[in-house]
Parts: sequence; structure tokens; C-alpha cells
Amino acid sequence: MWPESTPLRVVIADDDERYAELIADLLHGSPELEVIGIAKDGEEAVQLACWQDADIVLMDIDMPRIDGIVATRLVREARPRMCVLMLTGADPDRIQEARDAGATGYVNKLHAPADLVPALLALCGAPAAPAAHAD
Amino acid sequence: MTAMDGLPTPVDARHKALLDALPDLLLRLRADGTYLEIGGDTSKLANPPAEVVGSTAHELLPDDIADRLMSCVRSSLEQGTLATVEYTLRTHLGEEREFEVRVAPAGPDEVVAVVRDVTDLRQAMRDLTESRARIVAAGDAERRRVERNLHDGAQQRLVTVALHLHLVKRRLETDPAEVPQLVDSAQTELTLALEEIRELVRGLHPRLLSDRGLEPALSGLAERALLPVEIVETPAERLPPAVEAATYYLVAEALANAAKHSQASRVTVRVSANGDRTTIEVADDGVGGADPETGSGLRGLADRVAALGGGLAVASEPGRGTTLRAELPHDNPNQ
Repeated sequence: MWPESTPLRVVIADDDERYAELIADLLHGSPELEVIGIAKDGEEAVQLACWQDADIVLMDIDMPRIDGIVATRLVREARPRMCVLMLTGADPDRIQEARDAGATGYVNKLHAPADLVPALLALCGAPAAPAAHAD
Repeated sequence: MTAMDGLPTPVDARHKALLDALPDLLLRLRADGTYLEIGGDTSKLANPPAEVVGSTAHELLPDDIADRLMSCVRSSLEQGTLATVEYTLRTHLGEEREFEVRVAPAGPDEVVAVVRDVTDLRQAMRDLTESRARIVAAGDAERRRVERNLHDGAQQRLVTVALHLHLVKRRLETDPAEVPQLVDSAQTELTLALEEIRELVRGLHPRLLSDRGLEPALSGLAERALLPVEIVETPAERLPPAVEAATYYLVAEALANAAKHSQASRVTVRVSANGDRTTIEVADDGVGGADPETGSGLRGLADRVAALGGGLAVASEPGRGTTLRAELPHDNPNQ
């Protein structure tokens, strides 16, 4: 169980900066979560997550420079305990690639308003929250 | 046919003329492979005609081909039925050709062989197969393009709108003053999503073309082109939908190619219909040098035109501009 007083430190990686800001806004309402940075490509995501010692990276798949799958692999190699939750509208094959690269779970962007916060809370051990899914 | 012993053949003049007029090479072969008579199109022989009669298949043909021919002869004689064999051979005129040989027994010790040159037919079949494969690949690529555009464009914007609405709901409880700004932002995203969908649909099939025909649709292309375009001529009447669509995409691709590669200062477009066919000509005054064999865009156009029973010609001498000229029949059953 995650200590109640310590918020989960989240990095958001999405090349659509407007969307990433809205997701940050969405997470802002949950005291269990703290957005510590927004990355606009996979390379930035790896650097930010490692430098800021994030607990979790919310990772889009299709991003410039290096995509979310390669970035997930790099994050997991550098920080094996760090969680990577895919937040994407990509097709199931790409989701599976992300899982193979070490992604912990997946939330479809279409369902992010309802599903994202519960999925993140599940990762930090909140008992009533549903697990991240892969629909 | 030419007899082995030089004596008059038993066929009369009419029979001989009939045989000689056939487009295939005719052979009479003994069971041991000796050529007894030849007739028909002797340009397909591997050796000059005068050297053939009296020689054997193994003396005249490469070993592997002679073996296959004689195997076919034996099979025909043993079973008393038609047997066939195919091979590629260089003729005595120096051309590499593909042949289909049909061998039928003509007595206990000899066969008649009809040697048909199938080079052009086979090439046409290969061209057709490759063209179909390219059309399928182009369709797949187009579907991927549409999927990619939807995913990256409209879908992402609608996802953002959904997120906006979720935040609006929350702000109504916590900070209503921020709601108008969020709604404005959602409205902007929604407008952009609609524009992107409209643009995507226009790329699939231009509605202007379906509704109002070639002239306004081509004028629209000209207005959006990256270099000056003059629509010199368009048909007054409506054409079959497949012809209109092919014409539109041909002009669109030609204009895109001209903008990318030609360094032209202007392009002219002429489309004329004479009742049973449409002629499309797109000419630029650029650098020329376009190669239809290497450009996938031009090859795709050639496939589209060929699928409608038409033809595409490209004239593009270096320094003399590029002219695409296509002819499309109106009565093709594929339309």
C-alpha cells in the first residue's frame, strides 16, 4: 500500500501539448496525484521521468523522436520499479507491443475522463479503484 | 509444310496455304525426335528453317529443352492423347520467347506439335497481375492514410472535447468562472474536428464532382493548386461516374506532381469527350524528365486508367515540360 500522505508523482508524455495540459488539469483534482512534468516526445519523457524520479509515466504511443513503446522500454530498463501507464488511442497490436516493452497498463484516451484517475489510484494501491484495463 | 525428302507433300495447295497461314509453328516429329516437316510461323524456330528437317531435337535444341520436348512426345505416343510442354527459347532471329507446345499422336511412330508463342500473352498476364497487386496495395495505403488521419486528427480532437466537457462539469462545482473559457476551447476543437473530417471526406471522393460534375471540381483543384493552372476545356455534358472520378484524380495527381517536381510556371488542363471516350491532357512548362516507370504516382494513375480500359502516355523530355495524356472509353464494363 502506498503511504497515504505521499502523492503519486506523475509525468505526462503526449505530443499534443493541449491534451497533456488538460490531462494535468484532470489529475489536479486528486490529492493522491501530483503532476511533476509534461513531456512532448518519448525522449523527453525518459529524461523527465528519470531526472524527476517519477512514480509513474502516462505515455502516449505515437510521438516524435522516439515513440512511446521505445520510451517505455528505456524507462523500465533505467527504473525497473517505475510504472508506465499507456494513455493512447492506438490499435490493439500497438498496445500489446507496449505491454511487451514493459507497460503496466493501458487506458483508452476515449475513456480517460472516467477511467484515468481510478486506474492511477489502483496503481498506488487505493483499495476501491478498478485496475487499468486494455479494451 | 516442307517435306524431309523434298518430294511434293501430299497436301494440296489450299491445305498448304491454310497451314502456312496459321500463326503457330507446326512440326511433324518422329518418335526418335527427328523433324519430318515444318510449317506455319517458322520465325519461331531455334534454327534457320533449312537446317531443321532431318535433324533431331537434341541436335537443334538445348539439352534440357530437348529432353522435356521428347518426354512430352513419348507421353503423347504412349497414352495416345494430347500432351503439352512449355519452355523459353531463343529463336534463330535472336529473340528470347516463351512457347507452349501441344503434341498429338499422328501415327504409331510420329506426332504433330503445335508450337505457340505465348510471350506477349504471358507478359500481359504478368502486367495485369502486377497492376492488380499495385491497385490493391494502393487501396491498402489509402485505408491506412484515412485511419492515420482520423486517429491523429479528428479522433484526437474529439477526445480533447470529451476531456473539456469533463472538466467543465467539475468546474461548475468548483470554479464556474473558468467554464466559459473551457467551453470556448471545446468549441474550437470541435470545429477543427469537423473541418478535418470534411477535408478527409473530400480526399476520398469530392462531393463537388458527384453533385456538379467535372468543370467545378477541376476549377476547385486549380484554385487550390500551388502553381497557376488554366482549365482550357471541359466537357459540357456529364460523363460516366468512373470516368469523371478517374479524370479528377488524374488531374489532381498531375497537378501535385507538377507542383513537387516540375518547377513549372503554369499548367494547362484539357478534358474533351467525343461521345464514346474522354481525352485528358495535363501539360506543364517545367523541366520535364518524369519517368512513369519509377514514379509511384504516375504508375498508380496508369493502373487506374488501365482498369477502365484506357491508356496513359507521358511525354517528358528533359527541358521540354511534361504532358500527361490519357484516353478513357465510356463503355468499359468495369465502370
